[in-house]
Amino acid sequence: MFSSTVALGSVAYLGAIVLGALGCGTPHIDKPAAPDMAPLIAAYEAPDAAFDAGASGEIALAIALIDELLARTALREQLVDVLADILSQASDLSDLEGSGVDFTFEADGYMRITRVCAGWALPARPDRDANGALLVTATFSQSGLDPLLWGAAEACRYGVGETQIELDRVGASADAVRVYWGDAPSNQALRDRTLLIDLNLAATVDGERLPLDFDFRSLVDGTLEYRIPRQDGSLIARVGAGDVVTLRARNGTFDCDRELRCGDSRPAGDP
Amino acid sequence: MRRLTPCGGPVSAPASRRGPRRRAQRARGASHRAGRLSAATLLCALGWSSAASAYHTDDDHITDDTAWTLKGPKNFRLGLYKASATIADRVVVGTYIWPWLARTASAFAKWRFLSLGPTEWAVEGGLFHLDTASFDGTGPNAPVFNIGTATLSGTLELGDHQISNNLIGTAVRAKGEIDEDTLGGAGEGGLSNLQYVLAYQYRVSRSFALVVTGRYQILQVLAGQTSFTSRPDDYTSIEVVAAASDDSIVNFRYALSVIPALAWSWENFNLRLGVGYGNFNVPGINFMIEQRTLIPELDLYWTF
Repeated sequence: MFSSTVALGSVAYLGAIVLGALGCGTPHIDKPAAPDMAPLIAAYEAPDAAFDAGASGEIALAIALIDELLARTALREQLVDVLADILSQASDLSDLEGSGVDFTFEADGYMRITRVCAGWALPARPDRDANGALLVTATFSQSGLDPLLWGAAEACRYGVGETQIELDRVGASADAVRVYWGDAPSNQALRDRTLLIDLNLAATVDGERLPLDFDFRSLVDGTLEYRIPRQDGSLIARVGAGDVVTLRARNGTFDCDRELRCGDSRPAGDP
Repeated sequence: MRRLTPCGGPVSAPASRRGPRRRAQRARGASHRAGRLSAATLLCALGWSSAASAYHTDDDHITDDTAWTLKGPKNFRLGLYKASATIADRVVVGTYIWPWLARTASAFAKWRFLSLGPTEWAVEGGLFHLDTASFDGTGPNAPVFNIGTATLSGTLELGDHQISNNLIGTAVRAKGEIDEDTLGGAGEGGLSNLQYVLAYQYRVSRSFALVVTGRYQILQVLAGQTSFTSRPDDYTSIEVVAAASDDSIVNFRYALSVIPALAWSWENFNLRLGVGYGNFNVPGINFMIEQRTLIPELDLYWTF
């Protein structure tokens, strides 16, 4: 009895050591920590400020300002290009499934994307020292791309028509650009994704320095939503075709024109 | 009392206690007198076997796939696959020979840590190291392989029957550089498996035993880590750091083999011949080949 007990104990103990050693064979990746965008996501989902018609002019001005900055800098298009590269790379990684060896690729890791900016000169040259770059970090796990990615601009120069743009981070921030693109599968196209983009950049537009400290959400149908900070929280304004603005607030949803002349409210939460 | 040796000649019991040199001389003399060198006499000559001091005894045991280590006055083993030395009571260290031809350093140590009645218990650990730079001189980033094994063995001996259970864990780590036109970087991968080996031995005589060895691969896990830089166009570079793992690689997670063999053990020389079927297991590194085939087995070694 004693011998069999000792023997079984020895088997269990040494078996655990062997299995532990096997477990140690699995590589561990220290993924960079993603910034926290939860409050921002929540603000877009459920705006918490009340709309006061008396502040319409001020709100309309804020919407116009963001609209103008996005249009002049073509920032959304610049970011979309980089995001498309990330999706493409993720797709390449997924394609490792079934290639050569028949096994399921279960990955955990991250990617750092450096996009050299086109510069102001024509023809464009991929010269990072002269034209700067956009830097983006994306992480992924066994279930695909993680819902958040972030990055910065380093003296990124490009042109929009005749306009010369330079984007730079504010201070040494490594997450001056933050993007939430949800839990969609890695192979879902960019146009089918809702993108929430938070910026804290400085832009120089034809020599004029402008702060780009705002956030917006790009919807699947191509329209944009802007968050308008108010003293009691945030309002969300959706700018659609035909100069129609849909304003979502704690006290309802309002259909307005560009000057924010609004009709009767619908219950909060109505799209 | 007189008994027959495997060479067919009678030998007295006291002869088995004479020194190996004298026994060797007698063996060589017997071979010359026979006038021809049959396979049997060759084996006998190799084994210095005029004295039939058999190995399959209570003091001498087959040590492969069992918990046994060399006992008694014998401290060394030299053979086709292994060389080992007993460095302390119940502790053996050694190396696998063939890997050295491929510039792969190897070492193992076995400790028979427990004897409980008819049971023996041992643990064994092994290490292999292969740096492929020694072949092609590609520099410090050439693929490097490190393999570690850990074995827990238990042997139950009941008269002429002996059964051994072995639980073997193996971890392979490979690290090197990926070299493609648009993809450059370093990769690191691992392959780990857990095998169970059951070895049954029936001692037919003092110098001859039947051995049946069954091997079953319980699991095999692939784990890899890689970092590389992709350049989809002149403006974009993407550095990827990724880990991958999988526990169902190449559909032979449950590989197995069964190999019946005949084992002769004379005073110094040992020979093992067998043919089995299943997934061949690469000795030492414990990697099982995907295809099931006939598996020939040949091993020969000397102990002294």
